[in-house]
Amino acid sequence: MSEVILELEMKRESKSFTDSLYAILTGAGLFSGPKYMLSALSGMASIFSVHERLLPFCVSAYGEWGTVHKRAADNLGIFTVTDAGRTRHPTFKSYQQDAVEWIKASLDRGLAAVYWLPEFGVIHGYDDADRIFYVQDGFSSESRIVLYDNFGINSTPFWYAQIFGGKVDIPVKDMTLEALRMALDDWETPYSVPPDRKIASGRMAYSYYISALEQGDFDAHGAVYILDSFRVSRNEIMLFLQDTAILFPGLNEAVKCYEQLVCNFGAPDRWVDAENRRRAWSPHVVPALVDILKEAERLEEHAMRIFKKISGQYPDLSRSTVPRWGLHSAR
Amino acid sequence: MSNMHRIHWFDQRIRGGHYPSSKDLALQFEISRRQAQRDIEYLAVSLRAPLLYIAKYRGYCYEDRTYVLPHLYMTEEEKSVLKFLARKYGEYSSDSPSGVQRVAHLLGRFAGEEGGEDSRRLPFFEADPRLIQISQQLSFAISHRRVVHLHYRHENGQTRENVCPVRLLSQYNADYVAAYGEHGGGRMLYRLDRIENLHITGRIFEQDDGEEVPLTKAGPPGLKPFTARLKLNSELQGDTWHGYKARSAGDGLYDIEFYDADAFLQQLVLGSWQRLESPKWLKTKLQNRCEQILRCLYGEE
Amino acid sequence: MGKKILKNLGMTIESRSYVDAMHAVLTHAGWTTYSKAVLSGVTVTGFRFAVHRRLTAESPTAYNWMAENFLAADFVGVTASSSAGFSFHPTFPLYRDAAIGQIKASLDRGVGAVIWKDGFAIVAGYDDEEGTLYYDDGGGLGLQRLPYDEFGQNESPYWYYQVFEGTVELDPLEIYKESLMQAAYKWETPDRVLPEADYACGFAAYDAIKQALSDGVYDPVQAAGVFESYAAAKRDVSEYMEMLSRLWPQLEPAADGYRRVADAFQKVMGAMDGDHNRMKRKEQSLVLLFDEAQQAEHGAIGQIKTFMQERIRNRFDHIGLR
Repeated sequence: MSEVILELEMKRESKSFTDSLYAILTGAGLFSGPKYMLSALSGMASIFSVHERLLPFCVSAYGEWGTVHKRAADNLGIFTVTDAGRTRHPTFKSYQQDAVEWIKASLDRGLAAVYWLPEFGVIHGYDDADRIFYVQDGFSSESRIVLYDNFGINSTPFWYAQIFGGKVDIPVKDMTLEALRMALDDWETPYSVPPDRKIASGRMAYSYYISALEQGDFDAHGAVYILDSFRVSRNEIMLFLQDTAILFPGLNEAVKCYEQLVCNFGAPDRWVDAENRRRAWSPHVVPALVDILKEAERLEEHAMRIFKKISGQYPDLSRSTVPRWGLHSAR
Repeated sequence: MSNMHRIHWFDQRIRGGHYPSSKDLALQFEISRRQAQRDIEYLAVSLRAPLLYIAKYRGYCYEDRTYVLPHLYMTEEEKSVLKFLARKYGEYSSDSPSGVQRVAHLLGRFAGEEGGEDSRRLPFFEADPRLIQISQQLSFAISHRRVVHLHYRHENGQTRENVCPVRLLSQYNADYVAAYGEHGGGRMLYRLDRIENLHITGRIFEQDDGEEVPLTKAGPPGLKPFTARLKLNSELQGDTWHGYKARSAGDGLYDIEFYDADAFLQQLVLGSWQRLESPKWLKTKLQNRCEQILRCLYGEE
Repeated sequence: MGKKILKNLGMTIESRSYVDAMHAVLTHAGWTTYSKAVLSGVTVTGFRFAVHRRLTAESPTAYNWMAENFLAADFVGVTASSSAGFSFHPTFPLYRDAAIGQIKASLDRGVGAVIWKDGFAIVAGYDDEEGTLYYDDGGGLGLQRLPYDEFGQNESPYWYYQVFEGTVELDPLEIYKESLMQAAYKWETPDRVLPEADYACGFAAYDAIKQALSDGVYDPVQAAGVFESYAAAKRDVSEYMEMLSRLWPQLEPAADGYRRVADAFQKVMGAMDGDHNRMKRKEQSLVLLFDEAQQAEHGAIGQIKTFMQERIRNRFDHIGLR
């Protein structure tokens, strides 16, 4: 075919990858349900990564995307292929041309693709005559245009794309258990992209955030963006647990933790300097914010203990077998 | 050198007869004692200052009062080392190019080329004297368009050839000279570290205005612009249309290059033209925008 | 319904490693003229040295296949794609079907594929009507049948395949230098997929072997297999270093080091003399031999590092998986 445009709409509400994934899967009938459910089952909700100076890019710097995004599809029972690399590598052009082909093939099959713009967006159409892809970024209903020849070239030194395929059904209980386990993995992993220690994840991310606030040396815009993302994700976890608590005894207690956490944070714009409409913290809110974060950490820690207890009651082959693949991507 | 300002200060203190010590240096610049000591060593060893420690004053003075900090004066040899390093850093490929590129400029400035600012992490290149020498000779040959006789070691053996060198470059962590055969033949890349020896002949070659050396570029791939094909009302004078690069496509048609679609759209609205042939997505975008405006204009929803 | 069986594609076992498979496929495709020994060095696979602390049989193939086998191809200018996973995962059937598709496509292009079948094996053909792949595991039985739905069902819970796509021009000298950089890195760096509590890599692998032999905590049958595999790898690498030292005389001391490593491993195999039960009686002398090898290899790597000085310091944190 020389032109395909899939009608779908991506909206930025959660992490950009989640928003992309949701648009793609619901568009193709591979997922039905609310976004928070997808976010939690894919393991994306529990991700919390923070740069020591609260630079905004860290919201997407949660580890090797190939690994994280594959585990997301795995738990949903969906086949996926990811590819990525550095645009400076001498072989980039050939991988780029390959990627253009398999993305078009995916679109021909009616499935849109994830694409790193930055941030993550959705390639939902192509036109051979103009040699372009149509890309949704979730902010505007009008799609962006990317030339085939510019595929993968962006303001960062790397490119990333992901397509999906068939689906197998996985019992909800199994998916939920795995979601809890993914949350535990994230909680216990101190650094998203070791050996770089500038970005912390999970439990450690809290201390980075609190530290940055207390020391006063942080990116104002990033601070708000990170916290927004965090609030959304914890809200997603809360809603997810409310829906699934019935599957595991004891999970109800974790629901309460997240309900308390979400409640403590209050409305989205509560912490922002509403007067000058700037999205930044007013200095006077910092102490209160730090207190709430400390409490949130405590609440999540408690929830994690519950997850761990539940997890321990069932065998976990994936985690007890040494893999023959890694966390690190080759290119 | 990031410590030059400290060295300066130390030098001034010595001249002022203050007998500065490493402790003073450390205090003044809030550096460690060890670092201060290293600065002093640098002054003594690399800058060959005749430092003399006077126990009575617990500080330093110059044994030879006529000593002057030599950093303003560089030998030709030192300049050629910097030139070599400047080129290497300039062509070093990394994911955070700015720091390294700036070093290249800085070094180049010392050696008499373009200017720059300071750097962060400095890659380390061994300044192999033989390579520097070869590099220097080739630089001369390039700028004076001299034919060079090369004794070169290939994978399969050795050759002797006469070449016209045109450019020095660093790719894949090795240094090369791009040259073409004296009596024809395309451009070749010769690794500097496989040149057994060379000598510069008295013969001069013609300037070659041919294409770029065909190499897999190790730098970031350039962003390709979008191209709109417009039929304009009249022939274009020059090669731009309202500042956008334009190429004639025959028959009053022009291929106009742009990167930002929204900005170009504005230009389309403002400018005058007869027909927008392609790309289709741009036509759609323009149409949507016009429809939107008309809706507002005629008070529709 | 398609069918394709590539002629003259077979595999022999030397080190019982990935190189045996890769060499077979690439040589058949005309994409390499390197001997197995040189391939082993150039791809860095021969330099990898990791063991389970109890010297279990899977040690020589315990590594990140995806990344390292990809890099192995990359180092010889071959583009490749691969995939792997646990066969017990619910999505496995989806990946199995995709894998078969990729393997068939490769065979249609005239190039074999590498798979994991409790050891690296090559696929030389397929037949849709029969619904099978034809593979050779180097065991001497020639091509054997593997029904599509049995692909990936192994004793070990892994499935894996790799197909090779094309070639890119590379500068051989750069490849050799790159392999040396990687060799030094492997010597010093624990493999991230192997928990340190259970595995040791590079220099530390020797310590683990000596420890296991001294403690007597190992199964001779499995340990013998591990030593045999690595003896072949060290032999390969020694040949590779020999070749490099002819190109760069400064590497002669390193080549000499590896000669001694290979010799020590030969002596280890000699000490067992085909009877792994002898291992228990010869632990002391084996420990001494491994110690000798360790020192020799340590020295050799040191010399390699000196030779590569400029490159290593430029790479900062790009070393390893590039």
